[in-house]
Amino acid sequence: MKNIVLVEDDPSIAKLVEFKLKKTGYNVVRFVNPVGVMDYLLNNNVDLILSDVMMPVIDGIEMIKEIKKIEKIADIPIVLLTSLGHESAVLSGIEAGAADYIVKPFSTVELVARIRNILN
Amino acid sequence: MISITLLDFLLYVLIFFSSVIILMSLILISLRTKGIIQDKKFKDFSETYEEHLFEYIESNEHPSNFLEQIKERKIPLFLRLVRDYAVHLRGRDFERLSGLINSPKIFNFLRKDLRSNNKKRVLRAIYFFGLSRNQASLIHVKEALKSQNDVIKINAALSLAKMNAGNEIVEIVKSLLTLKHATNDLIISILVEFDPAICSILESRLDIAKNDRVRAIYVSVFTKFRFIPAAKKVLYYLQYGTDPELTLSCLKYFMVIEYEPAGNALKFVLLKSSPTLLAYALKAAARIGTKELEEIIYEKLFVESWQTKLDSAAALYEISITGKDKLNKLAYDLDHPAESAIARMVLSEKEISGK
Repeated sequence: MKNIVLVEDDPSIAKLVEFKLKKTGYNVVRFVNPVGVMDYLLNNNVDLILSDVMMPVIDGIEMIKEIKKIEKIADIPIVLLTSLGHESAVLSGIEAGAADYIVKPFSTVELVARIRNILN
Repeated sequence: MISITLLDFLLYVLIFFSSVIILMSLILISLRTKGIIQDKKFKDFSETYEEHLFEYIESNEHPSNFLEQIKERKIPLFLRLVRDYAVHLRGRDFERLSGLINSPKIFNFLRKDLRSNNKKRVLRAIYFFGLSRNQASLIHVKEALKSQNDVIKINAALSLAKMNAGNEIVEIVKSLLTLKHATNDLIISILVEFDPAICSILESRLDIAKNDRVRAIYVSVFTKFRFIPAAKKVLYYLQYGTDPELTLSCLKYFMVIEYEPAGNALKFVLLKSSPTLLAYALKAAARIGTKELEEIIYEKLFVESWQTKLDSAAALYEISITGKDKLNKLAYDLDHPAESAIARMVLSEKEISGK
C-alpha cells in the first residue's frame, strides 16, 4: 500500500481528502502544518506528499525547499493544493520542485487521478 | 446637606455604571456561552454525519434518501456542514452537494427561511440558493432585491449573480443603485460574480443604460473580464462621453485590453483638464498611443503639474521613435531646466529598466 503524507490546515479539506485517498487504497498520514513532517519523512517510507500552500508557521513552498535539501527524501514527489487566485504561489512551488498542483475548488476524482498518475 | 446630596448622586452614578458593567458582562458571557454551545452542537453533528456525507458524495444515492436521516431541527447544522465542503469542491462532488440543497426537504426549509422576518434566516436562504445555483429559487431570491435592508439586497444580488441570472441584470443594478452606500466598486464586485457571458448582455444594454454611471459600471465589468467585443461601443463613449467617471472606465478598459484603434481617440481625453483623466490618458497613450498624439503629449510636458510632466515624458518615450528623439533633445535643452530634468529622469529610468 502506498503511503501519502497530507499536510493541510483546513480540517474540512483534510478530512475529505483523507477519506477519498483511503477509500482509493492509500495509507494517509495527516499533518496540520509542516512542523513534524521532516522527522516523519526521514523515519518512514513515504511515496508522495500532498500539501496545502498557504499555511501558518511554515508555508508549503518553504517545506518543499527544506525537503529538496535532504538527499534521502528529495525524490519524494510533492503535489500542491492551492486556492484559486493564489496560482502565482504555485509557480514558486514548481520552481522549488513540486511535481504537480491542484487548484481549490477541486474535484476529488481529479485529485485521485493526478496522484495515481504520479505514483504510477 | 449639599455634601450628602452630592454623595447620594455619586452613589447613584456608581450604582448605575456598576449595573451597566454587570449587564454587559452578562450579555457577553451569554453570547460566548451560546457560541460555545453552538460550536459543540456542530462538532457533534459533524462527527456523526461527516462520513455519511462523504459516502453520499461518492455514491449515486438519491439526495432525498440521504436526507431522511436529517431531522428538520438539525437542518441548519446540516447546511453549515454542506457549506464547509461545497465551497472547496467542484464538478460532480459539488453537484452532489447542490443536489442536497435543491432537494424538496431543504428547498422548502430555505423557502420558509426566505419568508421569515428573521434577517439571519433570510440571509441563510439567499446564500444557499445562490450556492446551489438552483434556477427554481431564482424568482424567490429576486423578491429579496426589493428588501428595505441593504445587506439582504446585496446578498440577493450576489446570489442571483452566482445563479447567472442574466435576464435579471436590470433589476439587480437598479436595486444596487438604491443602496445607501452604493459605490461603483461594490456593484462591479457583484456583477463579476456572473459568468463572463454576462458581458454580451451588458454590451447590448450599453446604449440604453439609465445613465453614464451605469455605463461606467458596465465598462468596468468588460475590463474585469477583458471582453474585447465591446471595444467599438466603448470607443464611442471614450470619444463623445462627457461623464468623467465613464471616460475613466473607458480608459482603463482600453489599457487592459490594449486596443490600439483607441490610440487616436485618446486625444479627446488629453485635451480635457481633469488631472486624474489626464494621468490615465497619458498612461494609456504610453501603451496604445499613436504617433499622431506626439504633439499634444509634448505640449503636456510644459504644464505646471510635475506629475503630468512625468507621465507625458514617459508616454512620449513609448509612443514613437521621434517622440523618444524629442525627449533626448529636451534632456539637454538649457532653456527649459524643469522639463530637461524630467526628460533625463525618464531616460535614465528607461535605460536602467532596459526598455
